[in-house]
Amino acid sequence: MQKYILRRLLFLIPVMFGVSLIVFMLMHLTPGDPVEIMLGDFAEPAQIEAMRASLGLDQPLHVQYFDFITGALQGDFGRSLHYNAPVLSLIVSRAGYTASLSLAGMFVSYIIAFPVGIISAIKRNSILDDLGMVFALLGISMPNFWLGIMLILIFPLTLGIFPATGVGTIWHLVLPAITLGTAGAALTTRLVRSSMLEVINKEYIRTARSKGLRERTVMIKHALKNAMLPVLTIIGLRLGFILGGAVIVEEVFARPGMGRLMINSIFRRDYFVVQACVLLIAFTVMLANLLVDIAYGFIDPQIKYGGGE
Amino acid sequence: MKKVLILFLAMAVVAVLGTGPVQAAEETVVIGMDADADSLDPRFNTTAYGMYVVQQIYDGLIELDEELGFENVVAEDFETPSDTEYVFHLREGIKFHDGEELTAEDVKFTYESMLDPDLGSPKAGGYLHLVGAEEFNEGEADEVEGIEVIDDYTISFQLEEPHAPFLVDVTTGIVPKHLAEEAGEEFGDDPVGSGPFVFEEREIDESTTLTAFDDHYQGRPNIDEVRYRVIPEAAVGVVELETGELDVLMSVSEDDVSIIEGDDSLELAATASTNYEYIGFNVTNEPVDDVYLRKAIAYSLDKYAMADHFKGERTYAPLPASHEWADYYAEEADIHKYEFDLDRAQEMIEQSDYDGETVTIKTSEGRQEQAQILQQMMNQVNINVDIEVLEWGTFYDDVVEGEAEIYLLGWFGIIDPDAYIFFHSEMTPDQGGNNRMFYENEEADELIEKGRQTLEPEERREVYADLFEVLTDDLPNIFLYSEQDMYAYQDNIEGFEVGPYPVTILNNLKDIEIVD
Amino acid sequence: MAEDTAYSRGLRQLKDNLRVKISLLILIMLVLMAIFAPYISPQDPDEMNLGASLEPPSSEHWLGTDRMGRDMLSRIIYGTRVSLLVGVIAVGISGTLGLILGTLAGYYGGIIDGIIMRLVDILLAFPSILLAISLVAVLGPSLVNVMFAIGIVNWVSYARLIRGELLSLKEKEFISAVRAMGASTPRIIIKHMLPNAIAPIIVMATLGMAGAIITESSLSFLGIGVQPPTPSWGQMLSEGREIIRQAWWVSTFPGVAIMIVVLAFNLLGDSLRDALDPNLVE
Repeated sequence: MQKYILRRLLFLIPVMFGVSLIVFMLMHLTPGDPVEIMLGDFAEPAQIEAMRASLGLDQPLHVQYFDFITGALQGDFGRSLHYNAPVLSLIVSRAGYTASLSLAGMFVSYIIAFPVGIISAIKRNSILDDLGMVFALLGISMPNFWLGIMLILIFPLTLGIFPATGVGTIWHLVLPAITLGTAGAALTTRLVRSSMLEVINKEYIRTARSKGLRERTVMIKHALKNAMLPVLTIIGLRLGFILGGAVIVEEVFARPGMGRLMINSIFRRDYFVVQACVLLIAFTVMLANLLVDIAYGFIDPQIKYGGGE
Repeated sequence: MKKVLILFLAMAVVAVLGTGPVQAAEETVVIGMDADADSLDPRFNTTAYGMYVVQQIYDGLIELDEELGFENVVAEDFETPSDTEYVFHLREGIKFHDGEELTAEDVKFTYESMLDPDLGSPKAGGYLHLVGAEEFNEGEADEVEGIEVIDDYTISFQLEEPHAPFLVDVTTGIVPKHLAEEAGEEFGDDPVGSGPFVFEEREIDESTTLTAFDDHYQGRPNIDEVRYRVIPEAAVGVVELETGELDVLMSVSEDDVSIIEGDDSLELAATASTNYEYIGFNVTNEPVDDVYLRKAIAYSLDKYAMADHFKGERTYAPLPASHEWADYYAEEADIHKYEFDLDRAQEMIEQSDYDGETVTIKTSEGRQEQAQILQQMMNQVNINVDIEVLEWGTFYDDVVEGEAEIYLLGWFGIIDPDAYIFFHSEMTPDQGGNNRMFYENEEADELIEKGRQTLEPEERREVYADLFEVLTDDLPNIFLYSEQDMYAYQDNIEGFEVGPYPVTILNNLKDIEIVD
Repeated sequence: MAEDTAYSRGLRQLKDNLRVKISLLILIMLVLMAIFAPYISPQDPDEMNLGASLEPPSSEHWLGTDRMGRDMLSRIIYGTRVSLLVGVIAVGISGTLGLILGTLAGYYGGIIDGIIMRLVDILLAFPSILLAISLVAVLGPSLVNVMFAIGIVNWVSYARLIRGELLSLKEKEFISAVRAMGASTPRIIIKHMLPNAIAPIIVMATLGMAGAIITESSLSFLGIGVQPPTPSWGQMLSEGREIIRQAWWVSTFPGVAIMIVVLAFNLLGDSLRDALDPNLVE
């Protein structure tokens, strides 16, 4: 087990290296010059050149990449060109907003997924099952920026409840979390339904039933409890999806999170910010996946580690 | 199950509580704007949003007033011993927010550091005509010869040659040398100036808070605190204004005017802006290298309908409607106006070499509606148009690399008619300038240079009339309209006036009062 | 042979499935709408009328007009073309790429597998919307490049799926038997292995179309999608966002259109998954 974890951790190195290379190449291949974008109409001769030189952007690409990597290894991601502020502190000040949104979004998707998934499983192949799945699929079938806009139209603009944008209180989190959570609900609902179905047919449920326990007690006390594990461990796998969704949701609700920082930075060609954000997100996603795999190992001892993948 | 849910909830709550709202001071004015400021260092700040904030933290030698004239601020007065020298006498006893006095050394440092290649200020280009500036900028001199401290309260600027727009360039806020020198490029993270408000805190893309400066040389502001909030969605900004979350909303879109006018507790202020919209041609690229095709396009456009649709004011020359000379050029000067005329457009097409090939309009997201309207209008005289809406960085790059035929852009912050970096043949993007039309005309070059060096206003106005005649004949671009700038605020704010330029809009923020 | 009966049982189930019927009906109608758009649209979708800007739904304009006075209904009808095209082509690209790379990795294993799977790991760790944005920024926005970018971003899941299927099939007896009879490698892969993996691929492709349409609309929303005046639902929606209070119809109807198409694909894909491969999770 320890050997497995160590091996997986070692695997992170080439993958992170690849991620860093791809994001670096993409940013530098993209037409558009950060200095020109920043200076705009204010630029005059020699100015752009001087500024490029002071930022190291006049160096050959491999030198720039080397600087980026050696800096990143020491925790120095450079300064944002647009904000003229250290990248790391920019990211740190925003990571919290993205984390709270992601957690709240997951929370909402579980709130939807559990009742719908359980009912669908119990009433399998009935009209309720059909309706439940359609309902769950609706969430993933709406572009989440559109749902966000509609929620803003309905709640703050028309009914005057909940703040539309920004951060500050827990109320600011309500609409963004609903937006993000509905998109994630479909897959989670499916998972709840299928793991419930699996459990319902198991021996001990039949035993419980034969003991004459009430159906509701059987379902909640026995079936649900056993169906929970696989559902919860999937949280890690959902992280990448949730983070991707958060990017757009933050844009709609003007939350100063990492996603919005990243998108705006792409448009401004604020290279150093984009590179740092991508590395951080990739690292988080991979670490989460690793934790899930390890957790699976504890839960389901049938999974064996080691050997070829 | 329950435990898991509670855990989730607890995590969410903890994550949220970490960022509670700031306790509001007694009299706070909350200003909503649709994007955040860039740098809070006046030597780096180039966006309007930054100017809204920077203007309150710093004072400049002189500043623009609401009529775009100049008023003395840090400078008590100034004199011009010759056409190439400006001597500023500073007020005594002006204090920075940390209590240190502002002296001529701070002024020298502010301007010199903008030319310092190590600092990399985007504004260096504005000061290269100071004596010795280029040498300093290229690292060949230790200081700028043309910025001379005469005594603690007197400073002199010497120019290589007469330069009419010079005063616009000395409106930059003065930074304290004793702090900024050490902080270097990080100075803007924790800015200190001598302006009416003191920087309190900033959360990038969310809000910036300033508090009243007790020792401001003009006295303490009436309000205690200003908070700038970033609200990217226009519709949301309006709602927050209606519900009283905001006191002032910057940049109201024309779509929201009816809503604001319908609310009795809100006031709307509109003013001609210092911006104008134009169609640029890269005159070196086919098929728009053909001047008759450009004229055909100009005649095919119903520019009044466009100005009307975008709630702007039609312009005829590279000057915004807010400029005091704009009317003169529109009504009296002898420039070509290309009023909408499909027959004339057809004639021009016949004189041109245009043969039905596709012309591409490049633009960015913000002007795609404009592009579609232009496409439709040009179709009427059978000019085939393709639209490419590019993301801003790519679009701008294509334009300066000379890879565009027709492009849509606007210029903002035009206070002086000086057109050097926009139209001079030595200012094409490959030479580092903004002549993105790659336009070249010797006569125009001479007039542009003459315009810079002519100091007498009447005389200068005529030089530009001649220049605009040449420009509208060659037609490297078509001037469309100047947008109106609109602001909305609560009617319990007294003394709020708006000006046409970002730095003048909140000029009298320190004097406003909240009445009940 | 056992597999065949499971298969046909699945197909039989499909015919009776209400969800499948409804979603197929919707999709067929949308395809017809896309093909016959010029005949169904009440007006030219690109024709402007600045004087009729932002008119609410009426008998003349059933779904109102946009800022430039264009008929929303006509634009939404034409927008079907963009969405369906993006769905099909993008999935085609990612499916083909995934098929090739997944087959190489799964069949040959070893170092080829190692390289391809590391690439997969890298791309999986990358936020996909970000990759799509950057690709479109690099290539320049156009309908073709948008489809291409979405295709490139999504091939990873197909490759993983196919690799997994081939890995398990490789060990099966009937494959060894075919091999022993001297069949060539391409023949083994194409004739004997891939047909056995087809069910999950169809499921993934159907769901993938839904995802591709959503991604296209997100890109258009961020301003880097299909070029105007080509009507794209995502772009129409984003145009209406700032004026949602004055003209709710501009962003509401395109959103509903997206929802209907995507829901149809999702329903179909989901039901196919139930029927064809009850064991497939996620």
